Amino acid sequence: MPKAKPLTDEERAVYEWQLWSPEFGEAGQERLKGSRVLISRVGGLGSVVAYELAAAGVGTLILAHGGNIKPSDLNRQLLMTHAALGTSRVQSAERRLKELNPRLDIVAVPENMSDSNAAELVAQADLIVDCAPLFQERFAMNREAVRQSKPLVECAMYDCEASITTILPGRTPCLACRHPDAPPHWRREFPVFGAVSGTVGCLGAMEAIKVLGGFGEPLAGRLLTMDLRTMSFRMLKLARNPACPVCAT
Amino acid sequence: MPRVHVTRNLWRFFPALAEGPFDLQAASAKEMVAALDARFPGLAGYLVDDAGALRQHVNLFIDDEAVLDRKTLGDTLSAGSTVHVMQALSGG
Repeated sequence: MPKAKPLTDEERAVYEWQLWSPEFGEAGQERLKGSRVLISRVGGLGSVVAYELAAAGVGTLILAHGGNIKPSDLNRQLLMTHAALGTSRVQSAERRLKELNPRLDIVAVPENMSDSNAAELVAQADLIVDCAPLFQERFAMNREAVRQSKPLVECAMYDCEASITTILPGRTPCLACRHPDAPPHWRREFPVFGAVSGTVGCLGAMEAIKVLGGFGEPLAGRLLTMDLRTMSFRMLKLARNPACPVCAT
Repeated sequence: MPRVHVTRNLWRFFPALAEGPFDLQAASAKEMVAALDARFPGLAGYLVDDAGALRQHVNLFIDDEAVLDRKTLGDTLSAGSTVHVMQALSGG
């Protein structure tokens, strides 16, 4: 778990309203300040996760996202701007986050998660938030999170449906328990509104804040699913797969 | 009869799924898949493999709990059961 770092008077002023939250308080804020969170892609989901964690006072964000900003990013990737079209996504994200929280340390990695960099990226973090669109990235992240025993918040969406769970290695099912393989007909580009990715992004950020801050009840072993067309929410119980290729012992 | 909800993700392949949820005569998860396929020919191929095991990107939840028997789909259904057919989603 992260090492707590003492707050400055400026930080006490900025975070005053959340310091009032029962069970969190200054001790929780100090843990957030000492935390390093890896966010895999800062697109529709990850932009909002990063923005909320920056606002909440997480000390370091490691942002992994390759490529440059395209017009079709702008309906949901809230750290990207029209003026920055054609420039690096991760640099735009860094700039926007620093405007919000100049105290934030950012490690900007201009590449996506893969089998070749997952171990190194996960090793730098206390917690990972999975916002990636490709299952190869998600499986690489899951494998390393389990191997290095790092909590992993798993956010996903399609159209107006979304789901989220928190994987605590050794205690809860991992991604491969649920889905050892990718859907054969999955496409990287799919229908979605920014308000859907933003909803799940906020929930993902809150899961990270709870795990790092040491309070509340994370979605451990539970999958929250939602259909925002009908505003239907369900809490489903997950089960570990005793034959899981990643986390079975 | 058990009530079955199918993820919207599969509606693009079977548009008539939008008429759901569906009340199906089935006493097990296996029978439910067969009943779905009878109503939507070809749908079983998205859910189970040639041996009848749940495909690896698909999840079934009966009364909010994941089915345990993914190989033979022997988990039982009661008349009041609610089933959710889901598949892996990602970010973006």
